[in-house]
Amino acid sequence: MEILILILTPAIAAISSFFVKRKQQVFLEYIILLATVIEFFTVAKIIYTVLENGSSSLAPYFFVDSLGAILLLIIAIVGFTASVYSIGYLRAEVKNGTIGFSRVRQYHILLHSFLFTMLFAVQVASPILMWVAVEATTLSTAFLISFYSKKTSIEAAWKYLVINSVGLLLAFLGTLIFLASISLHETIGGFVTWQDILLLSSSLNPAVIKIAFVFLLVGYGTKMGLVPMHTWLPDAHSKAPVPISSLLSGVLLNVALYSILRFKIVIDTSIDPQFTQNLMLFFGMISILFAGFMISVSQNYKRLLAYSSIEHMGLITLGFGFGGIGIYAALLHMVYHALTKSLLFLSAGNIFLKYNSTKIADVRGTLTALPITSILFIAGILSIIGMPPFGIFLTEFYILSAGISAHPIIVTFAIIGLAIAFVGFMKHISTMLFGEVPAGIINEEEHGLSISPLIMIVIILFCIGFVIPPFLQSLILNSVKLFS
Amino acid sequence: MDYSILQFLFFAEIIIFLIVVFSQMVKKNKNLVLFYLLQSTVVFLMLILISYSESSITLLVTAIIMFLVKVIIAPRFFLKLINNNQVKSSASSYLSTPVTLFVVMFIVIFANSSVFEVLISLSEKVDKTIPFAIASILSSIFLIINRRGALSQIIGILYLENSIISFAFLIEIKQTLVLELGILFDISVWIVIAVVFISMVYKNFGSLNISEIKKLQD
Repeated sequence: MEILILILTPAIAAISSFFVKRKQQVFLEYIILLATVIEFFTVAKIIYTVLENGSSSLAPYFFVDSLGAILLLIIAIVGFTASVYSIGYLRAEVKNGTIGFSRVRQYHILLHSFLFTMLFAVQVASPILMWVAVEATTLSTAFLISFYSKKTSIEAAWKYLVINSVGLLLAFLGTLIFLASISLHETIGGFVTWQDILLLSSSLNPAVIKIAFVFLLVGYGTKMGLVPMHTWLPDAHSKAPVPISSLLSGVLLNVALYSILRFKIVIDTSIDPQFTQNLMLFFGMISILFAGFMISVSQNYKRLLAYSSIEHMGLITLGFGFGGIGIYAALLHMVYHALTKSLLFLSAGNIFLKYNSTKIADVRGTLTALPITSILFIAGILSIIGMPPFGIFLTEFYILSAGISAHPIIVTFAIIGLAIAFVGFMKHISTMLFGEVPAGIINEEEHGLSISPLIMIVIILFCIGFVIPPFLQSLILNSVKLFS
Repeated sequence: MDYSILQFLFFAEIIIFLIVVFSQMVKKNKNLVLFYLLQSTVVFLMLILISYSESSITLLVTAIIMFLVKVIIAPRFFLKLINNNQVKSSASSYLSTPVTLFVVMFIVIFANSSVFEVLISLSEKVDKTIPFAIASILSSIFLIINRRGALSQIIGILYLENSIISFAFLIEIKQTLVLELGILFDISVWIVIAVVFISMVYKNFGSLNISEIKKLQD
């Protein structure tokens, strides 16, 4: 029942938002708040069921296990904070005269649709319907990326649409080859679920599923932003409205990774896991290295954060590639990264609203102009570069230590990439924080709706950096078992 | 499947592949759309024939919806776009025609190489046809990369989609009607969005030449 509620809530919210009239703009805000609160508590109920029974399902169409529950948790938290932040952000954009009511309504409809597709992708039990949902995320977000209708945002959205469509068609091809390698049709009757595939995994043709996995990794890897298929990501993440950037970076990339992991779990039961691990190690390592260099030369703080997402998705991929404790750390890193990146993008949103520029060179003295946002931004930066007491320090350490004995060269390259990113971040951020505030910028903090979600994320990040909540620990440990 | 159907599938796959090859050289957008219409019709006929040979109502329904979306609605959308915006000529390709053909030749050799041998094992009955399907898939990807025109890229993606669907028929992937419709719904929404974006690109940049769209700088 809760699965159905979780699927229907964003769908109903999107439809309701469509019918809101010009003079009732406040209803859009009520709808988004109500929807995200319902989603949040429904996810909590699903997690409770998963912990109690091992899974939650609406047989045979929807199924959530520990791995799915972790993803739902990420969607619920980042979705909630992004939605609350959107209210203040859109009010400010309307006040500035940047957008009007119809744009605000369009934003709300698309945001709910985006959340709907991601929730659907994570919960649906069929690999093909999962593909349909992931493809649908492209369709709902393309208009969000081109939201400001500027030349640059349209170009970014075009790149996003074309590159991701090709990538996802390759993932579709991979899915078809994967399904063809197993004679499911007679036994199941058409609707193939992950559970069915796992039961019949012994009949998988090893040679065929190897080819299938290559297509799947390249296809979903495009959506995930792995190098060299990442080219859309910095443009899309930097041109979208910041709450959407936080969802793209913190959630969507993880949903794409989830799709790969679902296949990896099955494939590793029939062939030597070394095959999938080696591929993931390759893409993970080059993603970290490339993103590290790009962070150091970036001139735009939103692009900086986008490249950081590539770096961290590479790191997570590396964790799954190393296996063992690396998988545990990678799953935990998914949570930490999603929250941290959400915090950073939302803080960047406040900076953008104040300075009206995303160029690092144009932003000076944020500590004076936006003291609270700046402190929260610093907290996010310390977390993303892996400084204690934030959890990323621990997960990075675990991931790298998981591979140090078996893959010392890869670990060395990864450390080089992380070190370059570290230096790049420190250089850029110190430029933005200090110095004289440019003329015309008023030293005044944004209002509560633009600050409270950020404070909430920092508190969560700080707390789970010290103590991992038992429910999260159980979900992660149960998920690790899926890979063994 | 009896021999005559297998033979039809073989020729249909060759036509699908050749349309992608010819599209590499076509300059007019309208011709490109007509080629897409032709390719979609061939895929539709493939589906009709398979549904007949297997007496599958599900496949027949899918085929009819596919016909509506890909043969009627999508080409009409594209032709309307071309007429409204007067974008008759497609932008050129990055590589010259001889080099393009050389790359296509290489793709054909690659599709017939031992790399994809294992995919033939998925359906021994169509072992001669599958390499053409693989060549169509790879050539479609090459078309997307090689062409400068936004419309060419969109048509390239739709060629890729047609090639993958025809490949799926060859290896006899069967899904329920809900899944088939889910995929078709996705594709039809995708076509609408792609057309909207092409219009936006043209309105903002005054051209559909992708090489002229370089406003994003790092």
